[in-house]
Amino acid sequence: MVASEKAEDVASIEGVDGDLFEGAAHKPGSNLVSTGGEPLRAFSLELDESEVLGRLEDQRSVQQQTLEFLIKEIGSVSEYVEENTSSLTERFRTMAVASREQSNVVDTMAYDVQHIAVEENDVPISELAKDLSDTMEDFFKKVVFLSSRGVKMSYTLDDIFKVLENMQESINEIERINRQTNLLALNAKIEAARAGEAGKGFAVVAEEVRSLATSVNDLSSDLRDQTSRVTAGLDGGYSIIKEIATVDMSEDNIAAHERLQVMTKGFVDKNAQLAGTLKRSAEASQKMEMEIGASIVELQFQDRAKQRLEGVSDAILKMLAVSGDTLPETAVSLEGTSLEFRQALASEIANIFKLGTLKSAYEAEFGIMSAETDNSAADDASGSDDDDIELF
Amino acid sequence: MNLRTECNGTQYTAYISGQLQYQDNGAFRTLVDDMTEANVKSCVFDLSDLTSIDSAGLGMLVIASDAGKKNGWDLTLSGAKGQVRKILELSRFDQLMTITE
Repeated sequence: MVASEKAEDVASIEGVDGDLFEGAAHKPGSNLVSTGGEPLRAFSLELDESEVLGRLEDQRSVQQQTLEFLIKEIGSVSEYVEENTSSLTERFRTMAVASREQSNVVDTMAYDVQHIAVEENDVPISELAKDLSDTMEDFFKKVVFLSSRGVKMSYTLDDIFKVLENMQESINEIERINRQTNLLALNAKIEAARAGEAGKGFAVVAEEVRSLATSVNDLSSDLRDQTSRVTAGLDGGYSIIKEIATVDMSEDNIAAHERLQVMTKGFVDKNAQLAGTLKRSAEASQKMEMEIGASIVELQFQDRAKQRLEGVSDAILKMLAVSGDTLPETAVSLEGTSLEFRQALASEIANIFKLGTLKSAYEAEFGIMSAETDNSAADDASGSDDDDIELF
Repeated sequence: MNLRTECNGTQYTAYISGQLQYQDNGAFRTLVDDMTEANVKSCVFDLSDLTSIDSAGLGMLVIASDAGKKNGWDLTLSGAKGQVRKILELSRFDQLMTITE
């Protein structure tokens, strides 16, 4: 493809190809060329003036064509670099975007593993562990408080029991007194009977006292009955309070709590570790993104290189134009020039190109068969798509 | 609960051993009353030989501490070990009274 473009260019150059050369500017002795291993002088003594001019024209023609070829090559290289650079830039941009995405994903992950949603709020897991611990402590404190109130309550019940006991004592006392009263009434009744008629009224009083004592007896037994029921009821309350006040705080329960604490701590530690790793990963991604950004900036060298190469091409073009302007019209004597000589000169120059593609493209400009001119370049020149591979 | 007490005029010390649980509340109440009657500023519960305590036992310690505050004496718990020590730590008794080794 490159070769065919070059071929077109050759035609155009040849079309413009005037007889633009000043022979005086040339140093005849330096133009040593060789064909087929034999040294070939641009100017031999046998040549007459017109032949010398013809040779000069040949040289100028080869020079011009070579320079045109080189300008084209510079343009082509510049394009090649531009194409690859823009492709590289594009790839780097894609990488930068991917790297940013990755860093965002890792950041999100780092946040996610450190927080859990509690009633639509994000709570850090480290706080959660503290919350759990605080809740447990609070729970224990409340249990202790409850128990102390329970024990206090049982003290109060103890006091009530003592009062009830005192009441029982009092009832016993009442009954004892009542029994005596009853006995006294009975004695009074006997004494009244012995007194006969005179004791009749006293007997009535004694009977009243006895019936009063019976009533008191009924009352006191009723009181005793009720007191017993109160005691029984309080006994029930006492056992309920015992249940409330007594919470099992044996080794097993504490061990369970301790295990929970250890597990929570382990979980939080692991979590922090993971978050640290993710943070480092995000930092690495960010660094990568920055490096890629810097690389993209550095790839802008291509633009400057292109401008400089354009400057070089322009300068060469200007030189060609200048040499064309100064050449006298009389020097036109292309008829006498030798194609063979030009090709020999071109072959000599072609040997400078180490890259096969370049060499064969140059040779094509001058209609030289690559197989004839160089043995090592022959293989390379046969394929036009080998340049990329050869570069690496 | 097994109990042994001594009083040197300035400090009342109660050596509480065995288990402290709800059933002991009567005896414990008497102990607290005795402490108040001893009329000292400093009271110590030596728990070196206390093997276990339940929530009622903890409640009694709180009641003793409250009684001390009310009657002008300080309560110190000393020498708690094992489960007793763990449970005192868990319930943050250090915030309620003085705890020593």
